[in-house]
Amino acid sequence: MNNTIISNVVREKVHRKDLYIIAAFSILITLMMTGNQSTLTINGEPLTGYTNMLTITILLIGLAAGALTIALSSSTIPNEYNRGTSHLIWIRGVKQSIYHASLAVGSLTAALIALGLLLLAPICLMLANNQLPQILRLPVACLLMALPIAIICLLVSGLSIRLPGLATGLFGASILIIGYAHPLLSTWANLLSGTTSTILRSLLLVVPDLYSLQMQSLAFLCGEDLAWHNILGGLLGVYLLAQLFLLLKRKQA
Amino acid sequence: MLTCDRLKKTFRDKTAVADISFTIADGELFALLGRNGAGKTTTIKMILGLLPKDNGDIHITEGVRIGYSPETPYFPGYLSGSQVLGYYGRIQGLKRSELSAEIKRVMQAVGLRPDKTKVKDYSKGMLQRLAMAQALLGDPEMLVLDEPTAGLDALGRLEFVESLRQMKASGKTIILNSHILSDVERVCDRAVIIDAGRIVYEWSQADSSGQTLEAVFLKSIGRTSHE
Repeated sequence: MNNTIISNVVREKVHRKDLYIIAAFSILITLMMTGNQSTLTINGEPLTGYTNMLTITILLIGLAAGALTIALSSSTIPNEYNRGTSHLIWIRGVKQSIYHASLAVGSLTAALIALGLLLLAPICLMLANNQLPQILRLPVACLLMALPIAIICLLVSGLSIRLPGLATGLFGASILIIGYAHPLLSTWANLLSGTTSTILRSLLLVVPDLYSLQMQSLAFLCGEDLAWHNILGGLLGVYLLAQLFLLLKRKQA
Repeated sequence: MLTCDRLKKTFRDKTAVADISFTIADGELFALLGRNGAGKTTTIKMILGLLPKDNGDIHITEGVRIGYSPETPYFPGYLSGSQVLGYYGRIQGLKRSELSAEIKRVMQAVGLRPDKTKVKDYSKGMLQRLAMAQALLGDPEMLVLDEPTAGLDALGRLEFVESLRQMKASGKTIILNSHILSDVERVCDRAVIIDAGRIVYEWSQADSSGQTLEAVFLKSIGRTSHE
């Protein structure tokens, strides 16, 4: 890994104003959606009850962070080649695998900074509900939230070595939506039969369960038991996706 | 220092380089001339290893370091010229202790001031100079310059020609890809005129036999000065 390339990518990403606008917009929507307006109940608890609000907040943050990750990482590698910056890196003898992996880690670091901004929403919620112990648990929960982000970032960045930014962005968005709709699609797959069910089951098998992964951070915040198989599965996914940078190469700079 | 033998490159059904061979000696200033799309940049990219060749051989003396100045350089607008050079210097593996002196040296060599002006405020000519400065980082033995005078004003071009002379005098081997025939004629030792991916004429300063390079160029590509 090349630290100079990583820090350059982070520097470029944090100069993008849209990062802050999208993050602020996401925080606003999250806080609005979890506002104290509803009278509906879930399992006897009002929808605006703290636990429900926190669940929705963590889920929305996962989705927003995922979308930001796609926006940040889908164009990083293609841009280097379109601008010809890659020429000046290749002639300096940097290996393709190290170059691409460093660009991806730079994008991931920027995505984690975006996640840090988005975490303002649950922090506001926790402060408003006097949940100081949960704020103290947030750094570790943040590490768990980083897992789905890392999966999306590595997948999108890895594919963008060979595919255009738009194609990888759309592919990443599909993975994000399917990954977070895992429980819903799983229920559908059980209810349906025939080809549709088979297609849904195949999708669920291939696309990582980002929902369960994201919910581990909520479980940690609430002091509940963690589903370690999900976390280990996520780590394995990160490891396997990192191999893309060894396998996929460009023929020309 | 460099030998290209029967280079060939095809993009789908278009042949960019059909058959190009030449040799460049140590300390020589060598130019590739030709119309747009003749195959000059493709040849340069194959020499630099930025593009795989379909056929032929490229031999560069072992251990020779190459600096490259691209035709259309891109540098992040929020960085200063010194920061851009710092970035490429670090990637190149220059030590932190020697980096600031090296940045000063290469900026001075291309006529840029090592101040805090951001790249977004640079003129096209200044960007070209910055591209040249990053090529000089680490004092490479060979320089490959792709259209280095594009965007330079008349004075800038004269200064560039002078700096080429100085670099040649310091022993560097230089490959120049340029459209400015008068510049080539003034400073280069030899040149090849490429047309449709083939060398159609080999020109040398030593035996130019009174003909201007412009006349030779036009004749080589099948044009007259009236066309």
